[in-house]
Amino acid sequence: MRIFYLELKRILKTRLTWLLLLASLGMTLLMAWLPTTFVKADGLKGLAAVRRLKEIQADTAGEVTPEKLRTALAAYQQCLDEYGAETVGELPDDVWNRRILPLTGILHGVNEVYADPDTGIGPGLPNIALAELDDYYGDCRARLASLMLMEQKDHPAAQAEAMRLYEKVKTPYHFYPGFNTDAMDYQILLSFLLTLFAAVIAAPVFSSDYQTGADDILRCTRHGRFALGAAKTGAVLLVCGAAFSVCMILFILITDSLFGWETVGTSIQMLYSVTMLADMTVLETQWFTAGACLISLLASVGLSVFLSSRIRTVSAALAASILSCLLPLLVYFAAPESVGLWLRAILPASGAAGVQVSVLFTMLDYEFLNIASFAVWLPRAMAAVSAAELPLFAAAAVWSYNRHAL
Amino acid sequence: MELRIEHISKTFRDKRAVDGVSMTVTPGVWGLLGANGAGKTTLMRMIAGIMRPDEGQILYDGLPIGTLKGRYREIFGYLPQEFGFYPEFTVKDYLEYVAALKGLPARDAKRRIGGLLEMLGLSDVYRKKIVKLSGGMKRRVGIAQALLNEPELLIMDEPTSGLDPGERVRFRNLLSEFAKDRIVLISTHIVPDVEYIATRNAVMKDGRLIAEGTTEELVKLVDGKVWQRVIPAERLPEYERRLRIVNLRNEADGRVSIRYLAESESSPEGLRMTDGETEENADAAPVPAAPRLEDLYLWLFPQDSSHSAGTPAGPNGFGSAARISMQTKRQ
Repeated sequence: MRIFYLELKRILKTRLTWLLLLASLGMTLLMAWLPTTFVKADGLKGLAAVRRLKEIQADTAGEVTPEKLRTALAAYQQCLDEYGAETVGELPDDVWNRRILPLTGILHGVNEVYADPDTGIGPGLPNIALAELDDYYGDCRARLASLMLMEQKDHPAAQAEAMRLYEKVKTPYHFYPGFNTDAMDYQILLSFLLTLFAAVIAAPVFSSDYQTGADDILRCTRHGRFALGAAKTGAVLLVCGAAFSVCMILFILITDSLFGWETVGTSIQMLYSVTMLADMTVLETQWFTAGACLISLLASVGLSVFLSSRIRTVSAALAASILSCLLPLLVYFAAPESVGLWLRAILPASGAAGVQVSVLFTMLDYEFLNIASFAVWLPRAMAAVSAAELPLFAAAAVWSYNRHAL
Repeated sequence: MELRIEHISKTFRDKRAVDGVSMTVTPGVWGLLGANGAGKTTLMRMIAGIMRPDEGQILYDGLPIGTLKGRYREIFGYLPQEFGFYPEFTVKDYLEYVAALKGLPARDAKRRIGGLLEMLGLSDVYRKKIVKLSGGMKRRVGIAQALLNEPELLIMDEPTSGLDPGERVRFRNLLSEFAKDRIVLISTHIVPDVEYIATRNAVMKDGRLIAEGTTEELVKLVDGKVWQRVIPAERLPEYERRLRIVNLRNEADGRVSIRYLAESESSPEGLRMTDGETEENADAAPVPAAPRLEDLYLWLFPQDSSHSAGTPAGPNGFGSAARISMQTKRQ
């Protein structure tokens, strides 16, 4: 324990670590605030716009029942009829702000539900008959079934698994105006940057000692092998994990305080696709994303530490470590789909540093790992694999350091 | 207590760095001598267990060091040639860190660190970052860490490099005292450092152990090969071209006293008295000189005499070693 404490102290005394931790904190504050600046409503911007939006859409807050949807859609269509407009773009600004803006939140996704099953193209809201909304949530399930038929044509197990997951999603959805997807995007961007910072902190853990020759002395001490390897690995995991956790908690607290704590009770389906498979509110999604990203980050740090135990120069270890973080993105762009899917599940940094293939954006999608007659939803697979990789890489790093000899 | 090295070999690509070395190291200070590339550092790293030999084995008290693992490292102290440390650490941080790794309880560590800082003159820089210390002070921190656990077996690779003459004397005294009932193996190019304190020496060349014995036994190898004579200063360049001069000293009346290595006393061809010379300015006859360990080193490693450049003035008052190095290289 004394060695662990001293190693922790050593890492925290390193100037680079301090600079990166301070930068992480600064970025967290900036990224928690930035999404509020993008909100515009009724001629206002920023937090004033958030407050105005909440006032304007207050009547639609709460459960998203078919009745509420019918009323909103009727008001929407009536407005267009009154002004002889085919689309809302033809309406005068003040009319749009007064009569359409209050309805946009609750009507989110309605046209998606009634999309053409063959083409996936949604009808315009003026073209949806009010009577169609009677069984809105049944139509959501039907839409998911047709979507899965398109997405997983050759994998009935995946189609069935998607339907099974969606069955667990609580309906009716809830909607509380004010929150937007920018805040979720920034959480993922923050996770990406923190993962890169963690890679920079973790890369020199062993390789720096090899490069400077410090390892020659430490390795010759009584506890200089297994115990030191375990202490170094544990300490860097703790520093990176704690820094990430603090930043994520701060981010969520600040973001949700700025947007309003009532807004995060919104069902995630009211922010993204109405057929999303996750049974979560916005707040639950934020915590789940933070948790999954933390596991992914720790697994990624484990890999960086393992690489550090194998590589004898800091620059090479750093390059390998950063590459391991960027690999999920490269795979996303370059690898064939089926191979890429498996690689994304296996690569430890996918969840935290994948950006477009991160755990959050994977949750928005309908990708499954198909193994014979089984299908595993990709976000679940990613989280499970990362959780398994964390102890594996950490143990491999300790073993490799312990065995290191010239 | 003994360290037995049995037929150790290590090859790096096409170079055989250590070639079938066998020796038994007993308590006392051992000097390991050899030119650059002789294999000293590789041998020490294998003894330290940070490099695996390709062949042979190393036994401590009859047991292979690989099987002793932590028990071997517990009684082991090591100062490598390149002293690596954490730039963010102060002397205190570093010594506490190494003490913990050596398994010293916190209270004992504090007492031991205090004693070593005092002994090595580091008390004033206790809270300074190591990176900001002078080369000599860094070296002393390296020595301190090696001594922290009062090792039974202490291996030091070039421990005195970077130390000034006063520091070297203090270090030698410290080591002599420390070496009672312990094994201390030192590799150095500064031959007088081991000459004064080593109970036995081992000499390596091209990866092989070519000689082993006490200083007295080893210098016998160059008995009758060390000469001294006084010559006119203007003839020095000529002598430098033809003889392996290991030391020189300016005398009065424009004459120079030279110490050189040669198989016999006879002057090489062409170094006899010339027509213009008188008895006063002619070369004095060579006289045999008492051999020293440094003479043996330079005899065995003529091409490496430059490495004795750091050698301080010897007890006989001979002068600039840098000059010697230059002269001997011209041979």
